[in-house]
Amino acid sequence: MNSIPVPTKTALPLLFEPDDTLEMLADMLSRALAGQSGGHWREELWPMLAELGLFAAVMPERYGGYGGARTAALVCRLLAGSGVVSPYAVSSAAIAPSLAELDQPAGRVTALLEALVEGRQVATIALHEVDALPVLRDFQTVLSGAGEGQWRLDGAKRMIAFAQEADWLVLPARNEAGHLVIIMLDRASFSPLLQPCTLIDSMPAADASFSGLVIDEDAIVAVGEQAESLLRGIVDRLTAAQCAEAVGAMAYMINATAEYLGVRRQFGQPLSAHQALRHRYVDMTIQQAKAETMAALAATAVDQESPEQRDRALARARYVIVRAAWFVSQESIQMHGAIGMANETPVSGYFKRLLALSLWLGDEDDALEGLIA
Amino acid sequence: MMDVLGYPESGLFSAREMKFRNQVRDFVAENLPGEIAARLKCGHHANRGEIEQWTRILHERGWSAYCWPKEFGGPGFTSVERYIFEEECAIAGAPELVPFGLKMVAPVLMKYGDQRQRDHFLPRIARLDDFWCQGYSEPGSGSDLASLKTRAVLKGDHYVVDGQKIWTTSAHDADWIFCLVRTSNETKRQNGISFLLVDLSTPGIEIRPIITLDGKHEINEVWFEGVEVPVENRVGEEGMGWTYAKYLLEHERLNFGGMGFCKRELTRLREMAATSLRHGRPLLEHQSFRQRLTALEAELAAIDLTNLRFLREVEAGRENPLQAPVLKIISSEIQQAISELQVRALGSKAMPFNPQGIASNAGHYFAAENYCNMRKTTIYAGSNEIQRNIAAKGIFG
Repeated sequence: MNSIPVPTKTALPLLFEPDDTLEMLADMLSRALAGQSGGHWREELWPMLAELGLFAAVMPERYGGYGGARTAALVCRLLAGSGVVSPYAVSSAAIAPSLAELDQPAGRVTALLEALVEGRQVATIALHEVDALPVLRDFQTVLSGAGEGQWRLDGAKRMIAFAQEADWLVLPARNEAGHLVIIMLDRASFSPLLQPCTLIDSMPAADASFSGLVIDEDAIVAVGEQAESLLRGIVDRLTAAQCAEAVGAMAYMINATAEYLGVRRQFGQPLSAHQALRHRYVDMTIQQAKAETMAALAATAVDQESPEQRDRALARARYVIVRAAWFVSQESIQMHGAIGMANETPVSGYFKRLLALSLWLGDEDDALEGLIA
Repeated sequence: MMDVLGYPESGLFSAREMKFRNQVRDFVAENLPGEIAARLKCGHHANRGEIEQWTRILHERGWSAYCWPKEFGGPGFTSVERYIFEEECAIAGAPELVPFGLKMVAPVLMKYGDQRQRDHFLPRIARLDDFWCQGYSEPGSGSDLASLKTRAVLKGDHYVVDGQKIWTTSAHDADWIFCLVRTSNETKRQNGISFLLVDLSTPGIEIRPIITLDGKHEINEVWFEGVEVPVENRVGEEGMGWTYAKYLLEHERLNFGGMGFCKRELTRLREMAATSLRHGRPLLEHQSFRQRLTALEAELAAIDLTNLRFLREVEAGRENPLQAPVLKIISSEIQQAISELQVRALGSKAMPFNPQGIASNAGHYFAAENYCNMRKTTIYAGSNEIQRNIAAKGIFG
């Protein structure tokens, strides 16, 4: 019989155990966000996050990090709960710690890591092609040889979050041998190719077409297995971060709904006195409770060594959270009534944020198929 | 042509009704402007110009007031014929005709209006010379409509109206608004409400847009400050407005169906599923999605046929208090369910929001925009919570 492996890392408390450091961090960030009005990522937010040390906090210990994905989840949750749509999830929670795992990082990776940890730069990733879901293999964007140390890139990427704001673009593609390659483009080389659009939740994004874009050797940061594990790292961390963002947005909607039910009077009493609405409100909080649990599990899972365990935890988290997001967002608007339909009512912004996050996270059916496979 | 939901070919409609259906289908195929159909099938909302154009085309044929009896200038369709007519128009991509005139104020005028009001307004509604909107909800009075506060004080031969209406659909496109106003304060709040017809060009009226979830301008605030309304624009007796409004709401609810619209959207959903890829394979090849789509089709068939059954029952004089609330609840919920599955089908492709410059079907289906917009269906026309109260009252008293 196999013996149960004994955990060796003791730096972090167990999942759901109170953690003083994380709580302190949450306190500081909540206070800093208290005056924020939400909406777009704004230039002034970034220095504030840097000052709080939130770019370093999500990194491995050698970069001064603490708690990895759990810290990232906390920050993402609070940002999304304040209505902030920011590249923190993709740039700091997903890309930075994943690049830090590379064995022998190329020069531009080392330089970028420094800039990311200090909050000086922003990176994003091109995960969408023609498919309705993020693409993880069989990329149609192709990298082929173009003579002496030079390469050419052909293909198209869609909906690159914060592409216009990013300094670096991480771009997965396939080489002629059919292996995954991860390319890192600097702003000068990708920004002329962008066709900007705005997404459901006001997030700025862009499509990009590459037709024979010439690329130097040093833009290729990982090939084959190393590229696979880098991509996995980024995608899994991004999933965990988006789960946390969804939980933050749900928390906002649920609080706002409770407040509204208490204030709005119809038929001579507050809405919160109507039993039907009380029960439906409690159903929202039940969904939220499960989502909260699974977002925490997702953040812990990112650091698991076994890919099966990681995949299972993340797929279960996606399933539970995406379902909760549809339910909570719809019920919240319904209980607000007509005022929930107005664009300037805050819940309506969170409704769209949750819709966008559900789509980034992929369909719940897809999560289930992953679990069955 | 096969029905969108693949119903049995006989047994649902009489030979006369089938003939009627073909007649409508042929007329729409020949006369509905292609640009309008293309835009609507792409997910756009019809604008006033398009609605006018289509109303005038139908008016020429004598069908614009398709839900009216012959004595008031309608074609005198049976309720099943109206259902068929709406369905054929909607499936073909025709704009919905303005319900506030045709289906709301017109029936009230027919029942409670005086001869002058009928003679003046009904033909103008049928030709869409007047575009109407509905002034019911107020900031503090939505589901609890009887608490409304907009005041109308009689001074000589006119009322002076002060107050505010809100969530007023199409007020910015409209020429006239019918309003519930308080003309006296009674102990029973439902008393003391009157039904006024107000020309929106009267001085003292201000219309302010409300942008909705989908980023569109569809609803408004309508403010009244010292607005003078001639007393002859009051419908029926002073203080009886609540009775007329209730009649109107019941009338509206039996008209709620919108099954043709659902079938048009189902067709769009199938299109999206056929072109959307998940892990490199068309979505329709994914068992999980097929199951969702098939379940939705079964639901829609059940709701559509329930709608038809209720119409047959009402035609046979077997009305009951559950039909209207049940129909409103199930048809609004299925509209939302279809729009939700559209977004799920497109996945990340639904994410660009209100992209500019898409005139017709260019690959953006406005699925997320419509999903946002459809949240209104369970809120408006008596929220589904109110409908459940009405149904429960019908059952338990």
